[in-house]
Amino acid sequence: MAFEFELPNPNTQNPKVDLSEADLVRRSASSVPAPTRQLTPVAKLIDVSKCIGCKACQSACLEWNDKRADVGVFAGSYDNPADLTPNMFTLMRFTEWVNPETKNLEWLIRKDGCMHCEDPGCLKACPAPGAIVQYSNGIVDFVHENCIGCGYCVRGCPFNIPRISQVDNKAYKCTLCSDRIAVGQGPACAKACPTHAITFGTKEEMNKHAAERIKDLKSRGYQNAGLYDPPGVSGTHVMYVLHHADKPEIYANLPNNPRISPIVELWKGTATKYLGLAAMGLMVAIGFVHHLVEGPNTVKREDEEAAKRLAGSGRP
Amino acid sequence: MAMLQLILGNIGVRGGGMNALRGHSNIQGLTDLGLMSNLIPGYLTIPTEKETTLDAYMSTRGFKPLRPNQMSYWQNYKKFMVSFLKSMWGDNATADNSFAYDYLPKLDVPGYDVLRAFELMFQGKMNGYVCQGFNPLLSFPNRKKLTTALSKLKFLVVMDPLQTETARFWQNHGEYNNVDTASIQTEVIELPTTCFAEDEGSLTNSGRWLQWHWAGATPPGEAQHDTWIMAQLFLRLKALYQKEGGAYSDPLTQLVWPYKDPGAPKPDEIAKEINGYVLADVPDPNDTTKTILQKGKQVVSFAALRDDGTTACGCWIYSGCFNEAGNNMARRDNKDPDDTGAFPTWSWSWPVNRRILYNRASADMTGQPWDPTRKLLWWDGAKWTGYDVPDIAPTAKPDVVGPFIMNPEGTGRLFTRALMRDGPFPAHYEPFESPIANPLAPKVRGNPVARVFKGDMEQFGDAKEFPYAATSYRLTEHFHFWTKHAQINASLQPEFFVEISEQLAAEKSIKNGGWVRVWSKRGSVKAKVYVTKRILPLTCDGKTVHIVGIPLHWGFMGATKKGFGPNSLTPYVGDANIETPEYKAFLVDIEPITGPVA
Repeated sequence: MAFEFELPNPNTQNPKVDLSEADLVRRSASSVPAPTRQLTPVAKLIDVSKCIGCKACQSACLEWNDKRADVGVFAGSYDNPADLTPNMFTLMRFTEWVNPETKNLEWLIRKDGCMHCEDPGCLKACPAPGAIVQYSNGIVDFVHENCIGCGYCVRGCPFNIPRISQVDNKAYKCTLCSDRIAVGQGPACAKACPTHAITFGTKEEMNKHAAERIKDLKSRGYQNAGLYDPPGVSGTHVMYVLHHADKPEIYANLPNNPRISPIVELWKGTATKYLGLAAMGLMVAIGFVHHLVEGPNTVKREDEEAAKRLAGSGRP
Repeated sequence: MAMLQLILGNIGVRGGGMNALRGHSNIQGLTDLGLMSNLIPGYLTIPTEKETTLDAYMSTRGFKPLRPNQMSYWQNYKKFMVSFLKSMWGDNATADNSFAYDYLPKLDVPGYDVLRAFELMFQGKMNGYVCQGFNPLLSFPNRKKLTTALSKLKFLVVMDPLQTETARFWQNHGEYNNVDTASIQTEVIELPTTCFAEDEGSLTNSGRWLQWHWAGATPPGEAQHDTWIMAQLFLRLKALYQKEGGAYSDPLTQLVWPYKDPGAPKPDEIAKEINGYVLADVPDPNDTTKTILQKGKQVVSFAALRDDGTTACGCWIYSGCFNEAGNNMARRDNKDPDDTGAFPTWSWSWPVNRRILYNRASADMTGQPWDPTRKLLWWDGAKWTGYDVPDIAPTAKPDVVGPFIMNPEGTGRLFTRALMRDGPFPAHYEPFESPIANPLAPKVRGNPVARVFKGDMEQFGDAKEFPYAATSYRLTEHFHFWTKHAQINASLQPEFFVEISEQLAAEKSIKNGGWVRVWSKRGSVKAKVYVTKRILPLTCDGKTVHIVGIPLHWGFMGATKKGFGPNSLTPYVGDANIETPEYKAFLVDIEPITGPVA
C-alpha cells in the first residue's frame, strides 16, 4: 500500500430502526413519558475535505422528499438556490478562501442543513405542543400537523436552518430522512454522494470514521483538521470533518460556538413557568376589573350581518 | 499518454493501462460497433473507392509477421471480414460474388466526420440528415454556420428522447435563436425515442465491459426504441424499392433481417447476431464423422470464425458476448479470486472476456511476473496460466513470441509510421486562435496538417482584435445538454454564466453577478458573470493572458433559463488526427453591459 495506513471505505449498511412515539425524549411545549428503551444514537458525518460540490445531495434531497426548488437565477456564486427554502432542506455553500499561510486558494464547500442538535433550540423555542420532537437516537423532526407557523423555531435555531412555507405557513427542515432510517436506509444525501463525503451510521461509528479522516488530513499537512460536534448545543447528530476546524467561520459562517439564544432559554427555563403563572393571574385580575368598568360585550346587528355574509358566501 | 505508459512499463499489468474518461457512458461501444464514418464493426475499415475488389482490399490488410515465429493476429482479418459480410447479406453473400463486397459503400475521402458533414450541408451538397441521439446545433462549432447549413437541408430527421435545439433550429426564440422562420424550407421530422433507462441492451465502458441492463421505466407518450424506428425505416424503404425500383437497391433489399418481429428487433436477437453463429456444419478435419461447428449454433468466440462463408458474425471483437452459454453480458457474479481486481465473471469483457489487454507483458521474457505482488499471468513451463485470459496463444513460448500480437513485429510501438496525419510524434502547436505566436515556430498558425475548409480560415480572429483566451467546460450539476430538461438539475444551475478572474474584472470594470457580452469573430453571447479566484491570468511568452471560462449547459429548450452555449463563439476546425473541434482554446473580447429588464 502506498498509504501510511489503511483508509477504509465507510460503512454503508444501515440497521433498521423502528421509530415510534415511545422513542421520543422531547416534545415541544409538552412532556413525554420516559422512553422504555434507548436507541443507539446516530449521526451523519459530512467530510468537507472530500466534497466535490456536485450537489448530488441537493438533488437526492429534492427527489426523496418530493420537493422542487424554483429555477432561479445566477446570482454571482455557485450557491443554488441562493438560500435554504421550505423545499430545499440542504444547500452547498461555496467559499473561495485564500489560506493566509500557504497563499493557496481553497474552495471550501459546506453542505448546510439541520444539525440535529442534542440540545435543540428549535424545539425549546416552539410553543406548539408536539410540533417538534426529538427521538432517543438524536433525530429532531418537525410534525407538520402540529405546527402553527409562528417562526419561533427559526429564532431558536443557532444555525438559522428552518424556513417557513408561504404556501401552508409551516416550518420545514431536514428530517435526517427519518422515514428512510425507519426502514433501514441511510439518508438520501448520503446514498447519492459519489465520494462518500457524506456518511451515516451510529454516532460512535461516525466518530471513529472521523478520527481516521482527521488523521489522514493531518498527514497531508492540515494540522488543524478536526471534528465539528459543538458542545454549546451538547453536540450534534450531523457533524463535519473540517480541514481547518480552528476556524469554522471560514466555511460560509459556520458558527464557532453555537448556543441557544438566552432569550429562548429564558422563555423556556423553570423561572419563566412561575413568571408566566404570575402574568396569567395578573391578566385575570385586569379582565375582571375591565368587566366591572366596561360591562359585557354585546353583539350588534351589523356584526351579525357581517358574520352571515362572511360565512355564507352564497352557499346553501 | 500511451507512449508514457508504455515507457513506464504500465501496459498489460494490473492497475496499469489507459483509462479514457469518455463523455458518454457508451462511447466505447459506439467506436467498437463501427459508428465512425470510416469503420465497420470491430475496427475493420470501410474500403476506399480505389479498393474495388475484396482481394485488393485484403492486400493491404494481411499483416504478415515481421519477425520469425511472431504471432500477428490481424492475419485473421479475412475471417472477421467475411463473417461480417455474411451477417449482413447471408445467402446473398457467396464466394462467387466475393461475399457481397460490392455492397459495401466505398469512401472517396478519409472520412465523413461531423465537421465535413455540416460543411457539405453548408455548401448545399448534402440534402438530408438523420440525426440520431445528438444535438449538433449546440455540440459543433460556429453555430451561425450550423444554422445556415441546417436551413439548406431538404429534410432533417431528429431521433431523440428530448426536444433538442437541433430539432427546433428553425424556431425563433428571440435573441437566443434569432432566425427568420418563414425563410427556412427544411422539413423537420422529430421522432421521440426512449432513453437509456427505458431500454434493454448493453453499454460498453472504457474498460471494455459489456454490461447488460434492463428497462427500468416505461417509455412516455409516443416514444419508441431506436431499433423499432430503424426497423420501420428499413421495412418501408425496402417496400418502396420493391414497388418502385431504384438504382442499385441490392445492398438494402438483400439485407439479412432474421428477427421474429421484423418491425421490432429485440436486443437479445441483435446481441446474438453480433456474437456470431454457424451457417453450415463444418466437419472435423481429423475425423470426418464429427463436426467442429454445428449449423444454427452460436459461435463460442471469434476463434471459430472462418473465411469460407460458414460463419456469420456482426462484430468479431464482441464474439463470445452471447454464445451457447447464454447472455454473458448479463452475468453479475462479483467474485474476484485473490483480489486481483479482474472480476472475471462480472458482465463480459471484449475480447474473449480478457480483462487486461496485452497481459502477457506483465511477465518478463522468461514468463515470470515482473512484479510478484501484482501477478496476472505466468508461464508454467508448458502454457500461460494466471488470473486472466492470456492475450497470446496459450502455448506461445515466452522467449519466442512478443506480447503485442496485434502488431506484426510483436512489440509495443512508441510511434506509428502511417496511421496518423499528425505524427509520428506529437508536436506542440498553438491553437488556430492563440493570444501568442507559436514560440517554437512563430510563422506557423495552428497545426499545419489540420484540415481547414474554405472560408473558415477567414473566420479566425487574432489577438489584436480579440485579446482574451476563452475555454469551454462542463459543470458537475449538469450532463451536456440533457439535464437542463430536468427540473431538479435546472434549479441547481439555472442560468448561463461565464467566469473571469478578479484581475480581468478590475481591468474591465465588470461586477460579479452582473451582465457581460462576450464575442468572437463568429458570434456574440450575453451572459451573467462570475468573478472568481479560481481563474488566474496566465503568463504566456512573457505576456499576461486573461481567460474567459464558458460552461456549456444552456440553450433555448428545457427547464433552465434560456441561454447560449460556447459554440456560438468557437472556430470551425478540428484536431489533425480525429477532427475533434477546437473547443478548449479560442479568442474573444468581453465588455460589461446593462442586463435585460427583469
